[in-house]
Amino acid sequence: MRLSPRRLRAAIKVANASGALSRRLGRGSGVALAGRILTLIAPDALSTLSQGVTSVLVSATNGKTTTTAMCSAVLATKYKVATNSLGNNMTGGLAQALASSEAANCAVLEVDEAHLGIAINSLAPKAILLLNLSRDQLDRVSEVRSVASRWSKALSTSLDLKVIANVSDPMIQFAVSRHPNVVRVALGNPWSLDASACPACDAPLDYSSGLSYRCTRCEFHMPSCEFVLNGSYLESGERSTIEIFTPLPGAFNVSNAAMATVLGIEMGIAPDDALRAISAVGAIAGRYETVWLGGRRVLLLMAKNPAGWQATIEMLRNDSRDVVIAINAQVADGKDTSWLYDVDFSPLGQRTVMATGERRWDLSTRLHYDGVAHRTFESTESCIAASNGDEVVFVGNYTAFQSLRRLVSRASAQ
Amino acid sequence: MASTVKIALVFPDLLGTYGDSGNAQILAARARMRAVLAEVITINAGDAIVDDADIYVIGGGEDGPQQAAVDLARRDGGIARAFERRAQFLAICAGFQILGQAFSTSDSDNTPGLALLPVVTRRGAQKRCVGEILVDPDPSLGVALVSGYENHGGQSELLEGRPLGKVLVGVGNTYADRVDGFLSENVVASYAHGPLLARNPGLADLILARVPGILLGPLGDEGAAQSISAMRAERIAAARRIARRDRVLGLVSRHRD
Repeated sequence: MRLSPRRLRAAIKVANASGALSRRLGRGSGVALAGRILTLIAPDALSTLSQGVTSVLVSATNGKTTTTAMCSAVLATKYKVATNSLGNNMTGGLAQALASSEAANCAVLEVDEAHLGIAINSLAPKAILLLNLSRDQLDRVSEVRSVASRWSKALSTSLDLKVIANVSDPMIQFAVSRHPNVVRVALGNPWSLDASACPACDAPLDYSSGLSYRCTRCEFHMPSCEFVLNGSYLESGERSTIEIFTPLPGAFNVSNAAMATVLGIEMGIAPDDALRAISAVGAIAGRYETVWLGGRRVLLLMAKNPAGWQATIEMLRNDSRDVVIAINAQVADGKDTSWLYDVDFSPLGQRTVMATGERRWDLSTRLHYDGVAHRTFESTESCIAASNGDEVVFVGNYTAFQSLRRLVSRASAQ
Repeated sequence: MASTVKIALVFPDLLGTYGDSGNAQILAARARMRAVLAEVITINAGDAIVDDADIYVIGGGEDGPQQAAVDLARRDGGIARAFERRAQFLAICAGFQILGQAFSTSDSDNTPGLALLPVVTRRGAQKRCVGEILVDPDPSLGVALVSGYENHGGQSELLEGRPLGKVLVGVGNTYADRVDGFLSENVVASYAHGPLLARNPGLADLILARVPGILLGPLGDEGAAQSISAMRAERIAAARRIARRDRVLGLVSRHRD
């Protein structure tokens, strides 16, 4: 059954309302349910909505939302863009994003790692960006290797689309290695804990030659790249070097901006125009935003998995502000907190560190074993009130971050 | 007394999915808190496995790396030699499985293990065991309830010997047996991560105290002790809440959350 656009929009509303209801009843985030209902009542929704739309998909463990925002900004210099800017990245969210703007002739969509295959099949995208794959939410058993294999399978039936891939990550190279239309980017690979064994044959990978890798048993190795990110310089054999700039903090955001720049170049947008668009991307759904709370300036950061936490802690290494860390372990965060021991918190050792969140005692124990002196508080407000500085950095995992944002909006409404 | 406790962290790059390197770090930290020197020797895939360490820590991992780890360990022989001279072993999840007679991966239902423990692991027909686990440990250990988080598909049957303890909440070795892990004079094995020794400092101290020549004084760090007991109280209460809810819902065998 093929639905008319109007009935389709109604179906999306029903699906998302069911998701919202499920969320209100405390049965999880409701996003997956919305997708299932939509697939049931309108199985062709995504392909119908994407007719005549140039779509670009972004998937990764980390950096999806930010890179999607940057890519949207870049493509908005040439297209009318629809996007799922709130990180609603499963089937229901994609449909909602596509349905939200009738005038759009382009869609830039962040896609959950597990939903990439469905999205490629039903949206027939012009390009996809693959940034990285690492461990995330252990209790959901999305083993990194099986995700990489599923991506590889999904790509094997879509040979026309252009794949822009960070092949510094062996898992990404494994997923794209047989695709005929790959733009290879080397972003460097600061996180290799999930890729110490060859994704093709499980033998150890040899990283001894610096930023590249090679399997110690089979043929698998890092290929040569069309683009190489060197610090903040994006180098390319045939083009002049481009200096990447983003107002967002951290080396990982330079990487995200580099990927968005490459997308721009591949879509025929001049690098200068792409960079200008990227430099206007500031806070994204509250991340990287500075807010006033308890009489102090608070920078809001979110990290959702070990690779994201490690990158954030590295970024804060040379900072002197007090740090509040908030850890929850709800469904959306992953209920298993053992990943805390995959993160080295010791770079925060000389700082004033405060621990909070529902799992503050797990965090506190971890910090003790890493030799990081800290105090533990029941709430983020108490942490901020106890800070001696005028400026505080808050880092929370997903639901801890969302609950701080709610607190901020309540505080500013008063 | 032994001059330095040598702790070998075996293949964290293959078997380190659940923060397992934390177990080695915690053993070393708790030794140092009592002014006992400790050293963690990290053995990555491809490195020779030292056979003279006091404690071997082996963690959990995905199927492919688990297979690679058992192949490397068998060829190297260091683990078998250390086991032979009764070095201490802490083995979690896949680490527990590879020390046994045989285990299952997605490629094979009967992969030979290192045959050091009397345990055989098969793929479970039921759903994966994921969630909080609470174990009443063997009374001979004199340690408090063992709290952790399990995440495994394999069902491990003990052919002989004792488990680490009785399962109060969660699954443990198999759906049927209601026990977790394995216990002997030189082995503590469990399906509980968290990692295990973060949640259960008593087990960490027990393993350290089993190293010949080690005398453990009182712990110097009051702050750490307070945080750990607050975490334990919170997690044990959470596990019991889950058990009550599952009983109410009649889902005991489906164990989730």
